[in-house]
Amino acid sequence: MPPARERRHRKGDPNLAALLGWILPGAGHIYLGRVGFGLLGFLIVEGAFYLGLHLNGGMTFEYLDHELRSAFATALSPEAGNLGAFVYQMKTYGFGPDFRRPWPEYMELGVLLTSLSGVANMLLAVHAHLAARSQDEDFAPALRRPALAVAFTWLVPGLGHVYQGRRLRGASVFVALVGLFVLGTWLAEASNLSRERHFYYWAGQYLLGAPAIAAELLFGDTPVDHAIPFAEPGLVFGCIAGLLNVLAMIDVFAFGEAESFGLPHKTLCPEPEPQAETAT
Amino acid sequence: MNDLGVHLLLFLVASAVIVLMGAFYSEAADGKAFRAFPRRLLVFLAGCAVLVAVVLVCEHTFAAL
Repeated sequence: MPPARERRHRKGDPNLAALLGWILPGAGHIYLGRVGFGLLGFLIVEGAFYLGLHLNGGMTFEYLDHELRSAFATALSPEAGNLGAFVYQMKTYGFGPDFRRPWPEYMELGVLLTSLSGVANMLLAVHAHLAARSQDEDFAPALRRPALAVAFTWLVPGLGHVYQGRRLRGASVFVALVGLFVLGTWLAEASNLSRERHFYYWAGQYLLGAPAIAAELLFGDTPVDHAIPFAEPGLVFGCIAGLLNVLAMIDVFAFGEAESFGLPHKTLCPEPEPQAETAT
Repeated sequence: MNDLGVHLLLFLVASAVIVLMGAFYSEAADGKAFRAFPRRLLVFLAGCAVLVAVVLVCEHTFAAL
């Protein structure tokens, strides 16, 4: 008879767990025997997606200009992080009819929710991958760290570093990335905050998390009724800030992974002091 | 300030952020990352200058063909 911990959490292939989770939220955890966590993840991620879909009427991809529409044109959008739901949306709604139609009243809120479900599902898949690599049940408390640190970093750049106790780095990342985003938004006179106007740049910017979402909610409706001299640099700055936050997410993940699994990491392993003489 | 000057200044700002994040990504210790920043920024800017020169030479050589 297997020990209790083996009965409770069956171990599996980490890549398969992450892949299953990407296709169907929570499926990776269910595959690992973490049924409750998997079902909770499924309800939250899919709930956000279908609420968003209900609010925006499945019209998200009608933001794309006609000449840009193709089979893989929407792959560079946050919704692709929830692959099953993304494919469902593409199959059911696609790019809509050939003519322009008015957006639903809560279009932007719906779009934010479907995007959020994609990012949340990616974080869930990261967690499933880590869960599959954990060797025993006692590891579970530490297991939260890397995935949670990544989630914090997406939400507020630098927050994951602060969560890990790396305050100087966290503050530097926050100032650099949020500063770049604010400068970009100022240069573009908030014209960068519209997914309808800049579908792909918006996707990059969305990786900055709460600052980008808050700015869009506050200033996203700013009308563009004149030529903006530095609209393009501003747009690029916002997008770069979001993309660079991916580096910050990888950084906190690597640190948390090394800390949790006892892997070698330059920060965790102090440099050996030079030894004057060799021990006999 | 003219447009070129503003664009150069904006490029310098974006470069600084890119290089800082690159330094954090490759150097796990904060002190090493900050110390490596000036040299990395110079290398990045020099690389970009070389790229600009190559693009301008290509433009002058091939654009009229």
